[in-house]
Amino acid sequence: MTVVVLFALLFLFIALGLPISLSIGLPAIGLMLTPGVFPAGIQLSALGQTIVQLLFAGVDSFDLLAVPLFMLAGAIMETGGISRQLIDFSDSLVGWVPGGLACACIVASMFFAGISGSAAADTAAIGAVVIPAMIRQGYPPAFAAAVVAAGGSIGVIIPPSIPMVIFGFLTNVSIAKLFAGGMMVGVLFGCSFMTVSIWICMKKGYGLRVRFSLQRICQTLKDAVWALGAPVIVLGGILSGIVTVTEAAALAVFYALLVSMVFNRELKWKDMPALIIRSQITAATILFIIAMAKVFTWLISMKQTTQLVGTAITALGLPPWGLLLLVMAALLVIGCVMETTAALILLVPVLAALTPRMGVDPVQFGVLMVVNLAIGMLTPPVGICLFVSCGISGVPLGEVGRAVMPLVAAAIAALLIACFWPPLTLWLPSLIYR
Amino acid sequence: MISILQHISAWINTAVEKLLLVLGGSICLLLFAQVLFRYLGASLGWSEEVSRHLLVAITFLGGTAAYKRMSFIGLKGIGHSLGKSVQRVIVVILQVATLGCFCILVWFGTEYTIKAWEHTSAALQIPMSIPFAVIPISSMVFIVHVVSDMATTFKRSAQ
Repeated sequence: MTVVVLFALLFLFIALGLPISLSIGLPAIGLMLTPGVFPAGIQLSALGQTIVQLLFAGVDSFDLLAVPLFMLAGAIMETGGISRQLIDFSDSLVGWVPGGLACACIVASMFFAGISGSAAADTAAIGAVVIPAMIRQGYPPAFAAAVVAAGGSIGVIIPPSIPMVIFGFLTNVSIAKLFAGGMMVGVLFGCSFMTVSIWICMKKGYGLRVRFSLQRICQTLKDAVWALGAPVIVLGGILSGIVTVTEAAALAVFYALLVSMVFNRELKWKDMPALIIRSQITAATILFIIAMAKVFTWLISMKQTTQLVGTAITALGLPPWGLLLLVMAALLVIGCVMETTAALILLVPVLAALTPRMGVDPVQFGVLMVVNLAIGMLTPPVGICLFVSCGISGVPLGEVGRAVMPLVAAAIAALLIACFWPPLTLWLPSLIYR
Repeated sequence: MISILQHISAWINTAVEKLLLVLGGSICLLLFAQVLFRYLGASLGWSEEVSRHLLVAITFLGGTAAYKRMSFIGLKGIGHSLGKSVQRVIVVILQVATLGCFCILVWFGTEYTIKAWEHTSAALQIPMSIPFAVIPISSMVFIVHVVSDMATTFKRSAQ
């Protein structure tokens, strides 16, 4: 009963327009202190103090430190002229295919994904440069915004990835393994987005084509080489075990500063305070959800909901692949209407317990879940990548939402491959962590 | 009276944002130092604990700044399709609920912070009251912002 009221209030508050962190926190804190929810012997002040301890414990984690740091590194890279270099280099690589700039945008997003851990940052950094350029080349604005949003969603699949940090934090699955697992899925996503873009551009005759030139590749590579060094340092550091994920995030901040200030000279010291404050506040919106959700999920676990859901699922009698499909389909639907961090925190405790019954490895499941929620970032009504690219392009959400559908279909196909072909996610982690 | 409230709320937020700058900057330097010292063969025993506690501070203080900047992640409510007066009632209800929640957190947060004086942290051996104090303090900041918002809502409906 308590759990039903809890969820009903959560959705009511979200529908009424209360921020998600408070929509999660208010009902949980209110119900914790409501007489009758806990046995009469427990003192009110004991429960109140438990709330305070839970809020603290919810974010008192070394792993979560990576969240503000990767946000800051992304923000520095975004202002430091790195997006343009990555786009020029990508354009020289793939600009000669039909829909060249659309493909270049996706490749650049993949490179940027190797620096930033957030899809919104990826969309903003690449979109600000690419959308105006695509419109100048005659691409319809809605298509340009859709491609940028799709490319941006790769930001959380190719490591570093903030949702993977959160998943690892919640389940104790190794974050480094999740990162390694996301690598090839991210590349598969990029390739399927490019295939669909090329197909659409050929069919509709969008865009210009430039000649392939090895000389231009060398030239743009020379400018972009420092920017391309960032993913090498961050991922290389984590996967080789030299630094932890959090330490790598701190190194990424310093490397980003070095590139933006010393090599590109586009960032000034006086820009830094505003950048730091902005990225800390963005990180705090995510962390505040995590803190509030700690109270929420604690209350749920006290009422043995996880076990109840487990029993109900077992009663369905589905084979492992059927259960996996069911969970993935449910996540796609939830991803459409729910913000990523909130969906992760509320669902992971229930779903992680089901992984053995789905016949998948915990690392694979973590990657699948993050990938699935990344698709949710591309689907209206609640999709952060769409919001950002609509903001940049000025195209209404509905139009971009329609234009992005073929790309969403490609993403779902890629997700299915990742579901039923485990080596895609597990081969790289097994290679690195013998 | 209302404008005084708004001034206080804005002033506190400026201070909180400056504090966020210091906290965010310290975390970066601290972790960079941690990696450096480890490879020099002298691990810092306390840097991990301090940076975790700084993260808690960023979460709650940053939460107040996000609320002030209205950048909390949320949907546009269904209220505004129901007309202005309904929307206003909904906003007031949500503000009262939020206010109540942070009053609870100030009360129990203070209670627990005082109690936590007996516990000391593992590495630095400081009383746990120090890191925990950020919860009641930022809840108070939240209350100031929410009350200032409520005053603005009432002022608008009075006009």
